[in-house]
Amino acid sequence: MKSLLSLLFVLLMLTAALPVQARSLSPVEGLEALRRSFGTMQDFTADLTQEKQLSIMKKKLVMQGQIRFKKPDRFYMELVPPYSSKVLLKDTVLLQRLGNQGELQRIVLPPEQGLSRWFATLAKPITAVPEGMEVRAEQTGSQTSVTIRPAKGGQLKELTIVLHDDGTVRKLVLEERAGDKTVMTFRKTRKNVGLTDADFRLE
Amino acid sequence: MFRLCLLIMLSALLSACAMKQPFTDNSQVVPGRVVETLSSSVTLSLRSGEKNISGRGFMVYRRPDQMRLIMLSPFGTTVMEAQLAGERLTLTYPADGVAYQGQIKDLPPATGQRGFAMLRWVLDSEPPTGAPVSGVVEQQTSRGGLEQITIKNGIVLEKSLKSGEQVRYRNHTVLAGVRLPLELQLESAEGDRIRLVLEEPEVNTELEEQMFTVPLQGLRLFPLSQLKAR
Repeated sequence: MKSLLSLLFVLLMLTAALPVQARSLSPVEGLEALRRSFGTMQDFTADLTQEKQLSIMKKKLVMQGQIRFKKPDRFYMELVPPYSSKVLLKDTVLLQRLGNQGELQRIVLPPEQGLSRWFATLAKPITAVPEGMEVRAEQTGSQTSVTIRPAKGGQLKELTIVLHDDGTVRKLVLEERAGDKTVMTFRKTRKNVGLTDADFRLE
Repeated sequence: MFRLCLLIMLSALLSACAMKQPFTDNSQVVPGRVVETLSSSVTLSLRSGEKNISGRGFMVYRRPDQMRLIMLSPFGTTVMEAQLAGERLTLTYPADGVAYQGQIKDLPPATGQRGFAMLRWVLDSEPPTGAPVSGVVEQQTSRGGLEQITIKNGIVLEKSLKSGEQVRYRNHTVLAGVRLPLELQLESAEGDRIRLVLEEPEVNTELEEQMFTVPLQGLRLFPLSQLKAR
């Protein structure tokens, strides 16, 4: 569970501001493009709409909020009412508060799953698709879609990142093996705006 | 962790009652109407010793004994799922790729079996027949223990057992003519505290059978008796 959370944090950040290739991408090219794009980013903010479709629900659970990231190891997500919550990750320490007056929850991730460790890994060029992973990349009009199928056996069945040719991510889709689906749509993405530690507080 | 799951299940079942409009008076209540089905997003908070755990999820309930609860991570992925159908309990942990299934009685005693033994007791949040509009009533539970029920203006506010379990019903409102609490506070005999809040609940709507089915494909299935504290 913790490793999945870490992966999702990284994926969220990777999708903040990614340049679109004007041609079809091979799997390695697709992954490498994501990695290189992140290399030019020091921080970013974006408005977020998270739609959750569960097999247990007739309607979608729609949450609105904002995310922020700052290298090397800060991530913040705030959802507004009626599903208000705040999440702050400082490398390996995750803080979460549900609602405005909920108790603060603190989770310590293993060192190998900390944000700084993830991004140190991403500093290395990708020369091959990781074993067991499937990657597809295609461009339609002004949008490019990169779909990643992690190695079998994990919770995630498929991850799709949709990018616009202005270099911003428009959508992140997480499909679980059990059939549940989460769609995150990003708007007003801004990168390298000079975020400081004051932007990463969970009061 | 497993004790938490049990308590969460218990709390969710406790909540078989919810409404949107603020409760004002009993005139909105339709006599004899009860919660047949409930679906609601929920927030759960647990304090157990030094641990504070909270999460958001979704639950469905159908009288008398069907319930399914999904707890979500901040990114919407499933952290834990629990399903109760009669005496059969299923718990899944997708991130770990495992599931546990069996009869409630097969739960290892050290992991909170008593919580499930309380389910029927907790679900019954209506005042006993002949109870005063306000006051404290003592009566035998269906399992034989003695319970104390605190009632005010016809609403059950609190129930407790001699063994130490206690449940408080708060923030009552009326939905679809049914009077029920939006917030439930449960305290186990061991001192663990659970707070459950229902968000945007719907009462007595039609719920398809598939909504109570837990997907087990891709998960390693173990007997419930092998479940360990998580």
